[in-house]
Amino acid sequence: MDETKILEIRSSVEEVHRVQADVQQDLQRWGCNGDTCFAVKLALEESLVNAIRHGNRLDPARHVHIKYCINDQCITICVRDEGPGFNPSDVPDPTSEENLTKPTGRGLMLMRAYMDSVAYNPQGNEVTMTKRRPAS
Amino acid sequence: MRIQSESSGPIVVLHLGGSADGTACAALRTALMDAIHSSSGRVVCDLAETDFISSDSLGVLISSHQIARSLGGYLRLVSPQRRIAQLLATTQLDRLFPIFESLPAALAAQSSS
Repeated sequence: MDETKILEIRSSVEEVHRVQADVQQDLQRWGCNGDTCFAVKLALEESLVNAIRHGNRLDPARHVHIKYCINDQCITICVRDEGPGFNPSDVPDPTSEENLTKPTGRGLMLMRAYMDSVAYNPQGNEVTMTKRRPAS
Repeated sequence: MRIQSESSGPIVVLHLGGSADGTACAALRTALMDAIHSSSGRVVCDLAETDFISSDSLGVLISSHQIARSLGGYLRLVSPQRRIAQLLATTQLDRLFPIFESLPAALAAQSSS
């Protein structure tokens, strides 16, 4: 059995809070543990902020589209913005010596570190992330 | 998020509670700038009650660390919960920030760290 929800938000960082509250409530209802909830919250935060800021460039006329699915095995989240897209391989490594003191550029790395898979569509404006749930 | 400030001699301690997500950045930045300016850059952030930090909030901590260092001071982190300590290790920011297990240890450390 799956539970799937589709949301659409305006390009405002304040909207992220509302999505996070909905997703966390659903994760807890499905009995996800604290580490899974933390990982999903972090990856969702980073993907939404990237979509709003870098994808939609804070344009209030553009929206961010979210689809998430929860079942006993995993959580899958898809976040799509209405921007031109980007090439994820162009993002520099934030852990390298020259980038360690830079205050930005860690979002994609955190998504990859905390989710089990992170994949972009060819245009680079939609990311699909999956987190496997530990066997209970 | 909840931010509580207190002075310990010349050092300002910020107790950060709850979720340091994107909506908390402005308040976090203001609190850190106030702390830096009132302590000549000697600031300790108590993370014992912090349960989430986004990359935006990490960026605020990094910028504040740079400013404190430029004033001859520091930004020390104290008592991060397991998931926050893991986040700092994943981003390798544990190489940048001095991290202490307890508030007394952070307050007693030499000013070079």
